[in-house]
Amino acid sequence: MLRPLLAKFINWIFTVKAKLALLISVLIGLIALFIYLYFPANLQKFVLHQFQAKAHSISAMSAFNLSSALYFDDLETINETFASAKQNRDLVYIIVVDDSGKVIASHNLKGAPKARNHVTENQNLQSLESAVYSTKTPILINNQQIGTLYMGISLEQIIAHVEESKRTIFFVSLAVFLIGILAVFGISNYITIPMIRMVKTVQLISDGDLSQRAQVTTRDEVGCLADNFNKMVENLENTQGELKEANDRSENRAEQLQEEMKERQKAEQEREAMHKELNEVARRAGMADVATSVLHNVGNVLNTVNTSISVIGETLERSKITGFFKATDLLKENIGDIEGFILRNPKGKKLLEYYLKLEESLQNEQVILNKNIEKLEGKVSLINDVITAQQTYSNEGLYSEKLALSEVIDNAMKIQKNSMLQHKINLHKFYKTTPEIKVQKIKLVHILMNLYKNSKEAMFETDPIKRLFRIEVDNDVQYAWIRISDSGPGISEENLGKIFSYGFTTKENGHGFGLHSCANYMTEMGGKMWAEPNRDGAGATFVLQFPM
Amino acid sequence: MRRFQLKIWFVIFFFISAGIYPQQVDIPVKIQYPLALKILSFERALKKRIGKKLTIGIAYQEKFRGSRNIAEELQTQIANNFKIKIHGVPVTSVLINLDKTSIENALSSTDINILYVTPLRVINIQNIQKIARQKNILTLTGVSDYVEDGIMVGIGLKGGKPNIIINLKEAKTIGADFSSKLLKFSTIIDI
Repeated sequence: MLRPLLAKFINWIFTVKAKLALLISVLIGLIALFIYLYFPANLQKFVLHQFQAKAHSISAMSAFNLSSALYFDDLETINETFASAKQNRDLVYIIVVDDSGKVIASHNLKGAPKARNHVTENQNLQSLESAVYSTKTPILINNQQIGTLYMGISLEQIIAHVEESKRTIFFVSLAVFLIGILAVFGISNYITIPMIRMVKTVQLISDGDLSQRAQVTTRDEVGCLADNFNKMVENLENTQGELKEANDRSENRAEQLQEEMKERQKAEQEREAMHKELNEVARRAGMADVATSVLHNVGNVLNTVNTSISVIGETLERSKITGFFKATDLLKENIGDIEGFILRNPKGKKLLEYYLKLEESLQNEQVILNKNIEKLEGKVSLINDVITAQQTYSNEGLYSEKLALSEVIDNAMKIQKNSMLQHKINLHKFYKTTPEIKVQKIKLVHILMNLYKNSKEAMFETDPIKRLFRIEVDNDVQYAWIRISDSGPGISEENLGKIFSYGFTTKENGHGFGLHSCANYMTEMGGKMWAEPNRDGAGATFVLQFPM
Repeated sequence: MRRFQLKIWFVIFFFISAGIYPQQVDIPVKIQYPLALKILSFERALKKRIGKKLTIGIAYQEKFRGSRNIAEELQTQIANNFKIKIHGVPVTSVLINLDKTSIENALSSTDINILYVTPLRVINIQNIQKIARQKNILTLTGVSDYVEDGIMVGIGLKGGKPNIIINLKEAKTIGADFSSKLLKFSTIIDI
């Protein structure tokens, strides 16, 4: 029962009407309280002050009038003064004493306080607790006191007047408060009713009914607000329609975009797959390149091996050893009569001559065989070195290690060296310094192999006399550089910015991956690489820069 | 020439003497009179002394021009203001020429309530006061110095303003009952 009422009250308290009414009610209450508290107190203070001033004036006037009378023992004048003073209805008592304290004249002596001597001159009247205000005034002649005037003036009338005023002010305050409250509620209703209508309209509109309009016809700010609000709602309605259309269009567009997004995702996936495939192809191509290089070198060596084997085979085929065996068999057949066979048989004589000649032939054959076997051993050792080098690089991990650049360059060169020499390419190494750099060896070898191979292939069209391959190593405090130059046709200015792009190639059977992967590897190792035309003529230079 | 010089000295003496005597009356008579009436109104015992009228005797010396002038002037004032009453009775005046009659005779023969003493020459003021006291007559004067000689009330000038001088002892002796309201504003001589 109470809870709904309380909820209703709480809702009401947060309304503008309630706030307005309560605030102004409090204000009016305070004003009424102020009127009730301030004015009676102030009035009492004022009245007391006036009364006190009046009492002292009467006293002083009476004392002045009495001074000569007292001085000249003029009782008649004293009585006249008393009579005059008694005209004041509030006078309770009046006593004149001479300088010895003797009462010269008095009115209502019983009404005077016995302890009148304790009354001080010009005492302040602070409250209305006492019913009589007593004054004590010296009676002076030529500034000499000749007596004292005691007067008692009743405060009853003042008290009654003040009480009456308090009651009046109380009722005035109450009336101000009540009228104020009524006025406040009236005013707050007058002010807030249009606002409440506005709020209801706004609620309806917020529920979605944009056809609603505020029914406020006042010409004040609320009316102006209502007009503008109605215009705003109209605009809102129009805008909502436009927005709906735009929303429909947006939804369609969103669907399209979603489709496009899916297609793009699909394309992206395909591209990634292709990229992976290409990476794989490139990796395989790289492997194939290395393998080709290895096979080529090994093949070259094998040619020599074959030649040596052919020479050995021919030497063995043409060897006198067969005749030696036949001569030995003939000698074995005639061993029983060896002397007769040699001396009497012509064959024996020829056999002996044959043996003498055979020594020289066999020595020659031995020289040829030894020479070719030696060659064969050298070539087999070279093949072994090439394969060992490749196996070494293949088995290397991708971890970084601090390596001397010159050492890696030389090891990589072992694979390409024969091929280069075969193509009559002059190799120049120029190591200004031999810095140790933290690199991933397999990546650096891959880069170097690519650059060696590219340089070599770039110089196929160059006059053999001018084929020059140059490797330079240098460093400062911050960086180390490998500069690989060839005397090929060089790289056009247009292509200088593209050669590291993925898929860019100038070769007929190229993939456009080699330099791209080299540049990536350099970046992965914290360095970078770029190409530039040779400063001193045709050809190009690839620069690898490593941080120290 | 000598006669001419004498005439000049006579004129100078005349003006000097004429100037001296009026100085004894500080306040003009036309002011003195209403003031005197006011003073008398504060004398509460006066009513008992007077009958149907209040008679003021003006003591003067006919041969003394200053005295005579003041006497005549006062008489004129009293006559002109006959409507003014004091304690409900009208005021009349009687001239007493002390060059022809003694003060004693004058006071005995006439019914005088108050004696006004003009500036006088060679007459004992204390004697006048003594006879007036015997006759129970109040005395007034426009010559301040006469108060010290026993005249009861004098009207003089002090600080450019009229000054009432009251011989309180004389007043009490003769039975005058002046209100303290008057005494308060007066110069009291209690000899």
